[in-house]
Amino acid sequence: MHSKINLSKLIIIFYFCIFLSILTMSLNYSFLIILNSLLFIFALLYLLIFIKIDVYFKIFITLLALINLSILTSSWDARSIWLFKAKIFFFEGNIFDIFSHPQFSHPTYPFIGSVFASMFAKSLNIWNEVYPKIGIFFLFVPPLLFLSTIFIKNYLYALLSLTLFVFGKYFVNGEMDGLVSIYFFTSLILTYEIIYKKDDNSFKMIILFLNNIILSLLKFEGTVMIFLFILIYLFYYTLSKKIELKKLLFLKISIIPSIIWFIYSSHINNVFQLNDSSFSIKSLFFRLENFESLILIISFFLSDEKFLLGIIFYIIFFLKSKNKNLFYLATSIITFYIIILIFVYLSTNFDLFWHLNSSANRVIKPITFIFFTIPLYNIYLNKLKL
Amino acid sequence: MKKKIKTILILSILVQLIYIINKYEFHPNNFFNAFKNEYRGNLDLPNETIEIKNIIKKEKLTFFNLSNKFKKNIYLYQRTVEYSYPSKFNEKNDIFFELIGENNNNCKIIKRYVFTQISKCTLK
Repeated sequence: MHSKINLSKLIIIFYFCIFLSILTMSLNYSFLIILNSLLFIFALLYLLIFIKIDVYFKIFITLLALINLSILTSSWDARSIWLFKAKIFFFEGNIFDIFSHPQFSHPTYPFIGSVFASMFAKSLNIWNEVYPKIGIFFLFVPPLLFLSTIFIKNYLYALLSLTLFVFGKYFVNGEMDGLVSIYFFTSLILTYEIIYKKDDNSFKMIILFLNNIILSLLKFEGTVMIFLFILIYLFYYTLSKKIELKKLLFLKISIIPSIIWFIYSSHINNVFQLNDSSFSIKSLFFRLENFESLILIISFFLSDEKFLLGIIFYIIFFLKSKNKNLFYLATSIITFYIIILIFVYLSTNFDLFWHLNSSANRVIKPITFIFFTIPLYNIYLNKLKL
Repeated sequence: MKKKIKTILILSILVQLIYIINKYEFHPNNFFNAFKNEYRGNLDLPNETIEIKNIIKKEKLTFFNLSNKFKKNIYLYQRTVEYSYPSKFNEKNDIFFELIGENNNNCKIIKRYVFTQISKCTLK
């Protein structure tokens, strides 16, 4: 029991460190930045040495950290966007001067991954092609650790195996899509537990709140997901009163940081004419005139073999499941998310084929992950032996 | 049965980790140098990018510009701009890096290197 309480506190500390990095990096005081990094590292060491959790989980985290430190940063988006932003924050010390960033780095994109990576680089005053990436990997720790308290023994190993199967490379390449997937899944099952299982203790509420904030600041996809979650909370409050008003308001607050960032970055985009907008209503109306674009988008989604396999897996377990509430919740969010994705692609200013070719398999990762992990969670809930 | 499933799952995790190690330029040397400033190992970058970074460092250039031909190659352009940072790409700067052999109007070649050349250009 003693160990469990410590683990809960530790999970909150991890989340808090990530959230705090925005403040310490904004203030740009070396002392605070180093303190923030040390707090995270001490918490990680404490977890690995003193906390009684699954030993294979500890080995999993340690191995991935070591692999991260042995692989160079080479993927396109990591170099051109996420770690380039981190590099600019590292040298400039100001995370809000986005107007001077090169356009290809997408200055208006959410920034928490880059800020967190930059914080570790600044703490040791080192910039190279290996080390800063560890900050991106560390962002995986809080949600994975939280999930390790829900999925135990073989369920946990199955979950870890699925994470590697669906987005294994994102653990080491410095991109955000694996993070979006794991934070999305965490928010989804917490939402389910709070709405349906009425398991809304303050620990889970805090984790959901912090998890939502971080998810919304990872990528715009995360912001959209949180927006969908807020709609779901609102829906359940209005129709069934399954959430208390106090808790609903608390969860609604979690979207505020991303809204502030969206307003700020849009303002900077307009004032400095960064032209960091790849989408327009004009393109949307143009493509809505025929079905070719829509068919192209759907065919791109379905050409991803993991996505396709995930759909089959999901449908089989959906049909076999007796309690379908979890599937209804997941399906409603996934459906809305896919509709939004389709509209986003329809409104792209780029050549649609090129845009899909360069990003479709990445942006559907969170959905693919949900297709595999929701059935696993459902098996766990039904206490089937594994 | 539970033990068998456990063994299979842990083996599947290990196999996938080995797959990642094999696929993504894993090298122990990177680990031993991970805390060295400016370490880049055998990172695959364009020759022009590496050369420009070395020139910038040697000449202590705070800003630089790139020729249109250079910018047209998105890979070369993005890798050069991000790798050369904190020296900043600035379209208003009159010191241009050009690909070797380029001959642009209003530009006077200052020095030729192996893959690139520096020119001083009159901005329109």
